[in-house]
Amino acid sequence: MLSPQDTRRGQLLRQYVRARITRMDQVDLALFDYDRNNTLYFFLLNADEQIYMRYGGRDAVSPDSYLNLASLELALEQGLELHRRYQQGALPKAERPKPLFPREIPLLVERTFKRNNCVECHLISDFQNIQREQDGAFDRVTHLYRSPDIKMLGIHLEVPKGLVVAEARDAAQAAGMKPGDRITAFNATPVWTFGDLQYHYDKVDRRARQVRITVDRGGEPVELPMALPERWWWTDLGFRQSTVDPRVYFASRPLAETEKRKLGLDTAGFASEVSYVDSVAPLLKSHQLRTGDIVFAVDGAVRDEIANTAELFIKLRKTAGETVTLDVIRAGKRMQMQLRTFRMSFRK
Amino acid sequence: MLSHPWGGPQPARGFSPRFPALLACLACSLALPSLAQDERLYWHNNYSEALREARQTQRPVFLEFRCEP
Repeated sequence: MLSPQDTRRGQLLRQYVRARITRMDQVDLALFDYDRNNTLYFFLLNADEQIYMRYGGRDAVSPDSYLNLASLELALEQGLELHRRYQQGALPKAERPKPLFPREIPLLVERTFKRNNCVECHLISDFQNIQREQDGAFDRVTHLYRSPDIKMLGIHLEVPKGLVVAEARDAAQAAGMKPGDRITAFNATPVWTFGDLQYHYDKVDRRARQVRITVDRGGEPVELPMALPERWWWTDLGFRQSTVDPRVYFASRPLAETEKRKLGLDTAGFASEVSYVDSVAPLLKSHQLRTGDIVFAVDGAVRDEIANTAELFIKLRKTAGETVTLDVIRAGKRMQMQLRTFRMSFRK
Repeated sequence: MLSHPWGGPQPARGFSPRFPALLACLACSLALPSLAQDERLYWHNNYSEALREARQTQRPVFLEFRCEP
């Protein structure tokens, strides 16, 4: 029987006051800060609005890659323990961030409140970004590429067990992380759930070169300084309802240095091979790229300090709706073509 | 073998060894929606009221944000 009443989950939930928020109108966005492209997100807190932990988070593969009944029960147990400690005065009080309510975001007021539309979670995030774009404060690698994927660091979790590492590859392996380790802190901030880990990982300055992860290994804390790989912040934006993301309707892979040299291209450039073309590209008259095309310049630019593909260069450096000129090699022949980016419109 | 998170009956013999894993996946996909739908657990839809009850009862709050466009 799935009824929580008869389960451990039910017993745990009964020890909490439960609340569900489906409209964001009155929510303090600063206190309840989370990636609004999650359709489901939980906070465990107390009556003083001290947040013990978050439960939620996702990756580009699925909205529930990290949602799991067993890990939820674990989080509920840990939340009760933290509550006991708080009541005993054994937990330090966190400083409350300066409140921010949806009515303080002018574009959101104009486009939702004034039209009596629902203030949806993802709309808040999108209008915040549009507002930043208008104010010249839009930092794409931070605001567009939200919630980096821990798999970019090589961290693969045993999801039902919360933050227990199933497999450590790449940067994680190089830092000494091992299967069976339980992640307990990220940059010295305690983390209890994947939601905590992803939230604090997202807060890392995108120019950072290193993070510190603490793990519990056999009951002993172990500090693991971890070197961040290039573009550690990159995530697939495909699932996001974001109008600030220039839609390009193709994907590409970076060329290796030897491939660029062979083609006579700048070896430090972002020349890349088109690996996928969205079928809507010709319908929208976005571009005429084909799989296998090499794109080696965008509006004359061939290299970038961050982007390693033409696709990423456009997403980072061009505004949604802009048309750009591509330099392309197709079957050995060089040519130029236009690419029109699009701005997504989603229930606005 | 994976345990059954809701403590239900064990699968009949002869099922694929992957069956428990599939059941667990199904449970996971069903669990979170059912968490919200079960009427036997009262859920506040007013945050202030939830905080008030938490203060009165000395209990922590489990707060869910759910997108229902």
